[in-house]
Amino acid sequence: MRLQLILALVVWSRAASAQVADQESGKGDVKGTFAVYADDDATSVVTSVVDATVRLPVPVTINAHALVDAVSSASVDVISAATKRFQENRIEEGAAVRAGVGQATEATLGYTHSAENDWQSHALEVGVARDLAKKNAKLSIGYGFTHNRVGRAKDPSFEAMLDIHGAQLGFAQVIDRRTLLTLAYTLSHASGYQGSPYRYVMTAGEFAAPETPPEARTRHALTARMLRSLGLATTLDASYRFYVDDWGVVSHTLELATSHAITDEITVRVRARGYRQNRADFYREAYDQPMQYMTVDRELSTFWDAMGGVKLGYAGDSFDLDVKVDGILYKFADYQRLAGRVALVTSLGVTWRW
Amino acid sequence: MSRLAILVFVALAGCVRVSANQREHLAKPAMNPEAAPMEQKIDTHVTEYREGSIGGTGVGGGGCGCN
Repeated sequence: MRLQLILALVVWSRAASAQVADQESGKGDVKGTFAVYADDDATSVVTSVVDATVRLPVPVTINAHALVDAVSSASVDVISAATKRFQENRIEEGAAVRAGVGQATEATLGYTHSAENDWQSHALEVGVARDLAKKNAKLSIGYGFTHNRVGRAKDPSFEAMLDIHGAQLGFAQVIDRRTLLTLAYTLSHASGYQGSPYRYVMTAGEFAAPETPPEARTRHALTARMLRSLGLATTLDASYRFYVDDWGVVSHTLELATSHAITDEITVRVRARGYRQNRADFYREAYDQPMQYMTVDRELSTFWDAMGGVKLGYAGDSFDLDVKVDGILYKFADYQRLAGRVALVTSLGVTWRW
Repeated sequence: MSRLAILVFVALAGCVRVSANQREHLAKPAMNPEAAPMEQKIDTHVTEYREGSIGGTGVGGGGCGCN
């Protein structure tokens, strides 16, 4: 599934957390991150990101980023499609503008383009956020649209389109002197080609057919998050997400993290995340007979995963550094070709501010 | 429905007032829910390509490297 870009966009464009109006003209930062995902299903992804933000003389910040994913995979998906290990790069570049409208409101406009050998994507996002009750609450709304052109490597005759509309309503509320609660609801609707041109389903007679998921999908996600200060050095971060869509997928995500300031500059964070979903209504590992909708996408099967990780951060006057290691265990309930998977995600981030 | 939601939000927004000089804990970097957008982007990048769910952290969808 490729339904992520605008989701990241709003998070991205709200990057610098302070209000634009509160920031000093000419100030800015450059961040670089290098991350590696590797799993025991013969897949690795090396992600490199550079992101820069600067505040203009007027209450406007400009942000630009570039990202490269270098993907190498010989997973069971790839091998069962009778192809060898593939390697490809995805290149993404984007820009966002945030403008302060008075002291309490800011507006965001962002654009991101993503390209790889068999996929092109253009994403546009707009948003407005307003502080309420003397900065004890914040309300935000956003809308995004993505147009995707899907291809198939070495097959110029294959071309399909996928359009996605998304909207979010967000609310943050100070509960007391130590507690902040946030709520976020996301609604998205995708129309167009949502399968993989490389994946084939098997029927009982060993007949292989292209997968045919529905061309429309409406998705809802509601997240509640609580940040609680347990003292000046320690913070608890807990969140729960409920997700449901009209393909029959229902999921629950729980995440807990605690960060502790060892010194004024050094912080350690420990976190755990659990995820559980049931399969899409039409998902089967093999079909007795051809059906209108068919898929063997294991991301649409019943499975759970669990993640645990540690992050160490250094925050200086003009220079930050962080190192992170996460381990993830996946267990698939109805995907016999791969009962489970273990992944390791490591990253190194550097920030320079002026 | 949307008017009701706005009314609920406005009512909630008025129920707690912590003044600026009482925000020693709330002002900590770790209490900022948007403190690490790049980390959040990469985390989202990892999970959403491998799970059937998206959303709850921002708007929309689209564009990756996983077909």
